[in-house]
Amino acid sequence: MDFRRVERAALLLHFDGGWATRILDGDVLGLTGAEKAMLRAVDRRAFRADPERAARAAAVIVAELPVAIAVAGVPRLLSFFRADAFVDVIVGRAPLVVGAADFLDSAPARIEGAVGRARRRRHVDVGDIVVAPHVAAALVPDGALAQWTAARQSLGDDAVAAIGAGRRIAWPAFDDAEAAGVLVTGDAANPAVGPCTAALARLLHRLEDGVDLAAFRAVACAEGCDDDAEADALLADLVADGLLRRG
Amino acid sequence: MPPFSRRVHDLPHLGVGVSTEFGAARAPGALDVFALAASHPSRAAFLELGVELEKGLDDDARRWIAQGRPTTYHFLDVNLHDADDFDDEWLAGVNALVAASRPAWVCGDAGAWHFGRRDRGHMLLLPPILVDDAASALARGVARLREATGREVLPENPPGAAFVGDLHLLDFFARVAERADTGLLLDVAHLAMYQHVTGRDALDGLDAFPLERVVEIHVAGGERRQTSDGFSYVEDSHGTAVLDATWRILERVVQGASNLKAVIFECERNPNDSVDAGFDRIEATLAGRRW
Repeated sequence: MDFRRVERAALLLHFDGGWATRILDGDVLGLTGAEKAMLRAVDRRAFRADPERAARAAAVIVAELPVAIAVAGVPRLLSFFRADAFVDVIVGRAPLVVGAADFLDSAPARIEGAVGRARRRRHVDVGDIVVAPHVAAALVPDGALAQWTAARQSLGDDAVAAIGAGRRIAWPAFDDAEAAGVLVTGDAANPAVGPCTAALARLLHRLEDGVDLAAFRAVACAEGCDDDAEADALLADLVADGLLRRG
Repeated sequence: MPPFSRRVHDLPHLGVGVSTEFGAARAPGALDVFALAASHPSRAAFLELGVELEKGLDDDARRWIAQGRPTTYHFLDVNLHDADDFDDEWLAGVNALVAASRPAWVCGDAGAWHFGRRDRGHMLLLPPILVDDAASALARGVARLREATGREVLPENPPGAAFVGDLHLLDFFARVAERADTGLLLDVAHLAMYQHVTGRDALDGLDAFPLERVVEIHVAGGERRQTSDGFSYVEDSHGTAVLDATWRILERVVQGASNLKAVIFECERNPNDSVDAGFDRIEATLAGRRW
């Protein structure tokens, strides 16, 4: 009996009754027979006493991913709470907003997900070299950042209300999904979103969990540096620009 | 460290008080704790500060503290049964607020305040899984927070409609209390919810419960509800209409709670002129107790 596993299962059942079949008759979370029996002993209707639970969590996501949700639609967002990606958030202790952005996996979701990651990034000793607090990057198609900027402005100051009122945004088709970089800087309350090269975005993305110097050099050379000396010079520049921190 | 049976004598008798959380006092129709303290000092003998560290203390809480009035610290943001939840940053923040508010003790619902990490949109409050291992994990969390804060930590039975596990809620918390050697905060309204949704009598399990561990009691209004498919439960509304089952539990618990130090009427969402009946009955139930 692993009560943590049972707790996660109960949590999913509180969010969406659709989990019952997958958890109790399937192998989501890998519950044992005894653990399933413990959950079956509870009247399933009890888990749905607060049917607005997912909607409240969704409101938080809408506030941080407004363009992504206006593009994808609220029903698509609510499907997140029935998806394996939601389980990953719970088990992996990941931010809900970032998990939802990854689940939506669109250009606006990547931009707004990067803002969410930057907002939550604090200084932690996770390696010799790590992305600085309140910095994050994303890869998007050429033209997507300008499209996102216009879309965000069109939603106005109260984007949550606009989306709640049914506002949708049409998103054009782009070609190469990872042709351009988006860089988020600033602070948690006032993030600045701007363009960067795709190479820099890829580099920063791979450094989010921290790396040692050798790993940094390898990543930097994969992104265009000719040798370790050039990688070291790049590192110095990125630290000076406040995009990276050294432990 | 001395056993709880000795430590409890060092805890102050707070009497009857009220609770608050960030911004609660400024909501329309909310209780004015300062007016209550002026008109009925014995009903606002202390203020329980509901604290989510991310929000901190609001101006009313700070004003109360600045006046040197008694407080308790009710956390709203830690899963005591989850060792991963005790990160250094959170503990440092709690210790800073404890130092600032000088609470008589720390307390709070011993359930899941959030899923996964502490973050926006993760907040909820679910009861613990009522199994023996979870009681042990919770006891470890209580001891850890007590050690970190230097304050007694009183776990509270949370509200809920779905209770999972093979232990009676009271048996679960009795095990927590014994293993952490701690006092308890018994929310009699939450207990009434549990007894209702599990089809038990309001007083079921109390005869075997270590009432001498109860240091604080919460009383609150609740509303019977039904899901669209007919499941009957009680919503933790914190209104002024207290269920009969809640009063029955209070009366039974008060008889045996030899170390009771504090009782909260959780009526923070109600105007001052609507809370008299609740306080009257609490005072009548407590009549004759030495505080």
